[in-house]
Amino acid sequence: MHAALLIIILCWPAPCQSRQVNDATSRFNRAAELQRQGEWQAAAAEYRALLSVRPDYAEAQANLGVVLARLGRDEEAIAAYEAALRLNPQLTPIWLNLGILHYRAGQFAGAADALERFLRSAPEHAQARQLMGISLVELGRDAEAVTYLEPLLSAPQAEAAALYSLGLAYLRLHRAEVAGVVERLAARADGAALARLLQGQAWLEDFAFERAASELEAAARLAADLPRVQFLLGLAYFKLGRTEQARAQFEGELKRTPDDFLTLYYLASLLEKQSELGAARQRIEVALRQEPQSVEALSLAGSIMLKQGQAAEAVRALEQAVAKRPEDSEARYLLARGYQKLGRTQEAAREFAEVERLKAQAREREKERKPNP
Amino acid sequence: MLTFAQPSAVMRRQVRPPTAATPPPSAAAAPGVRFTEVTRAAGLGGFRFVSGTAAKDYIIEAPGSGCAFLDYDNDGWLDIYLVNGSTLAALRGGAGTPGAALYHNNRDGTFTDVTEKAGVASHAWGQGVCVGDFDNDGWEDIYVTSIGRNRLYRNNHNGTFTDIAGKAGVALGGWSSGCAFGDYDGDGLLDLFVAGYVRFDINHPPPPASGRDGETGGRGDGGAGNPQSATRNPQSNNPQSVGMGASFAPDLGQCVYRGRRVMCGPRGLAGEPDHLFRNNGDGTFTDVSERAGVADRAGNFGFGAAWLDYDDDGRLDLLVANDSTPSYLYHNRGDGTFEDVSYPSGTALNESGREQAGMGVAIGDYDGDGRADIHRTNFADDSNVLYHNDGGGNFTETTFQTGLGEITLPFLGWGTNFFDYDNDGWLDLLVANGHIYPDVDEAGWGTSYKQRLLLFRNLKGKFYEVGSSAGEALYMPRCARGSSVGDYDNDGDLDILLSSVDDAPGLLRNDGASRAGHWLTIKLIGDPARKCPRDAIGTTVFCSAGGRRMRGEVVSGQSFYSQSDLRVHFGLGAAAAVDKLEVRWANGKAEQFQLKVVDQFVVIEQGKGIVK
Repeated sequence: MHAALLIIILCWPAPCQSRQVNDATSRFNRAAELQRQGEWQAAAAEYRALLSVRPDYAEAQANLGVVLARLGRDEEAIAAYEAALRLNPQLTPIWLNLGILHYRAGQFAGAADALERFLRSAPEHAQARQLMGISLVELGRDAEAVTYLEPLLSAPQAEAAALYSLGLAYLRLHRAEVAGVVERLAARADGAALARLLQGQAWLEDFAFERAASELEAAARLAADLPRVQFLLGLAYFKLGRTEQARAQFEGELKRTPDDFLTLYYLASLLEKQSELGAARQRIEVALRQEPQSVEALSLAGSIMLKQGQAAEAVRALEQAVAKRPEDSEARYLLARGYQKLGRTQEAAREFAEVERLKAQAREREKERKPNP
Repeated sequence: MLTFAQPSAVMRRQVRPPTAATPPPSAAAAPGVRFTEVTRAAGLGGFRFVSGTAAKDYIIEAPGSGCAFLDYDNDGWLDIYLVNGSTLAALRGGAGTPGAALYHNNRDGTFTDVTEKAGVASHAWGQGVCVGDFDNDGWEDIYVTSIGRNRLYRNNHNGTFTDIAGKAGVALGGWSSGCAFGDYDGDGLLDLFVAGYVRFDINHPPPPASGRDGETGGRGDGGAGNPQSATRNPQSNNPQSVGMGASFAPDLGQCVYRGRRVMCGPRGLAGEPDHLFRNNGDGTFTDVSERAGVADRAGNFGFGAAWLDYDDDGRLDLLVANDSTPSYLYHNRGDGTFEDVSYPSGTALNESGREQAGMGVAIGDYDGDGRADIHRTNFADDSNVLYHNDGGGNFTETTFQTGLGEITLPFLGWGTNFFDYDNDGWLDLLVANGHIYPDVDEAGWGTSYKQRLLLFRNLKGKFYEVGSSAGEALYMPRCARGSSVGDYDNDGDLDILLSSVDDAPGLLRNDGASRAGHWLTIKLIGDPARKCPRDAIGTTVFCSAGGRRMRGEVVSGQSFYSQSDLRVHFGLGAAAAVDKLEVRWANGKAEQFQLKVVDQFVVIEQGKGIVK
């Protein structure tokens, strides 16, 4: 989700101007002048030269960050902002800039931290609140996000992207207000596609996969570059058993976001079902690089390896999965099958017994909920 | 359920789900082989299966009842038995109970209702049916499971039956489901396995789907489910994502499935135990479930049951499809006891380690390697499963690689049968489908209440759905449950009999297969003196023809709640002769025969050879 971003371009004035002009000040002023003229490369060089002799010059670090951001060198800009804020945490606008850059890089935890610091000083700053809310939605902190985004409902200038995030938060919190957000988005020229995207997800959450697919197809027709639309459409197709269509969507999503864990996971799962075990293995391994602790991904990797006849490797992955989540009966079952293939019959029997125990336990929990009057 | 103030045009458009839409024709279908619905023409149109009310408030209204092809009068023509359900009002004494029906085959494509004379109406809330000559008198007897007392109809050889369930000790009284006769202890007498489903107290039922206990309840408001989101988390333990029924929402005091209020169960309810009855040989049975180790102490929700010899050691093993709980496979130790090999065999769960909502089972050698493989049907949003018998007691799930995976996802499967529908020598696969929640049509889940059948043609071990190519009778949506196959018109190809909830039965005549390929149908008569039951249930036949060796079996039960033709049918394709026929008699030695003729019915009697 990319709202229209405003990077705050500040040229910090040289400190101590009334005092004796020293070399550092004059270099700072030269750099600032270059910055004002849009000479980004030269300004950056000047700030860097200054910082090589005065690394504690917070304003220079801050302005270097601004210039680097202008040059599209976001990672360096983030480092410069962070250095500036370590030197002087009171450089309030720089928290906003840092938040924006983290946000732009998809580093939502960093964005939320920085924006939270900025909002302490400027709690009503509309853009910061929107970005904060969106970041929190991306982090799954939906309830917190709602507190930042809800005022948008009474703000005519609200970004469509921020409204969409609010709708998503409502949806995930199972709050009926999502309907109002869909309506509001649908009424805007720039919100029609997002309205359908949101509604498609609502149908997905409601297991109405046919309706979800229809809605998401419409969203994609309106705006093909909607965030995660191909993943969501792929998921709807996958749930409907329309495997080839699902595969095309997942693969399309990965062209845009090659490291997206969920897309990789579902594509690997689909490929496993299609008996394309090599391709499935490759996808799940990339997914595991994103989330090495994921029990689901480790289990899927183990399952694929078992089918590939690589029981020893499978057992290693599945042992990891079981170690991370001992109560996962499915991972344990796969592990037991792996032990069987390796002839480790006692360990297999132990795992099967554990699977049986866990499943019986789950059933008891169901019974304790007592549907009988 | 979330609703939106202004649903878009796209949302309002009704999308006909694949379970009810007319499928496209399939190039893989056998040319010239079609099924024709002949229910009315055959005289079966007057029968209606009853299963509670349209609202389907309680789980007892969901499974429907079974059906059977059997030759009760030994005239060589298959007759039909249709089990019937009931209503809560009837169970509570406030209304009449519909009855089961026996139809005699008139040998001209029609049937005559002989229920009254035969005395087999049952008038219980019937469930399943299995057939076997338990007293070895040469006449098939009928066992009918019920919610309540079961029936054992002993054949009186004169077109009438006598219910001796109570005297025989097999009446039970809870909720019996699938059943199957089989001689597990090798004494030449058919024993009886009866699966148990759920303990259901009609006087204290769980919350009804409609929100009020009644026979005409409307639909309730949608509940607020809280499913785990697949858009944020990968597939997980969330049972709602793997195709099982309702779960109880304590905060709502009702049962929900995907956020909609539905009937409760089976999850959350107590299971009914399973029973194995040993035949004492004097018209009575002894319940040996506990001693034999098949009593289902876990209380799983048993549905389909089948005897099979999966390890070809000459002893019948036992398979039970359990709903929403791990399924059972018991290995016969040969000493009157069984070893539970469900988990180590790989058949308790699907390949991912998830229990499924097992409904019906089919046993057959789909890939021609000589071993018995297993097909099990499941709930919607989950695939049916095919387990390949690898030998050595191990099974591997081959559902998706054989083509039975993704297409079955939106279907809720019940009856299933391996049979060679086109006489090409490969076992094809039938699945009878239908949902349990009537308002699923409104939910937009990509499925429907009434669903079409699925018929898969087997082309060298891979399955291809025949789509609309085999006739409208196959793709007409029904709320089907039981399915049986048998050659009721004795024309050399296998026909289909279906039971459906709140509907007429379905009799689908196979037109064309007997012209598409050669065939051979064998009636086997065992010799009880040699420890083989008279009707040869449990006998395996291998037919070698045209370079292939095909496996067939004499089986009681299987599918869902239903009984198929006890004769063994082989499609022979272009082969105009049978090179070798190996009959491995139940509990006995194998005998070999050669047949230079095909396209006929033969009778083989143990120790006497081909007698007809």
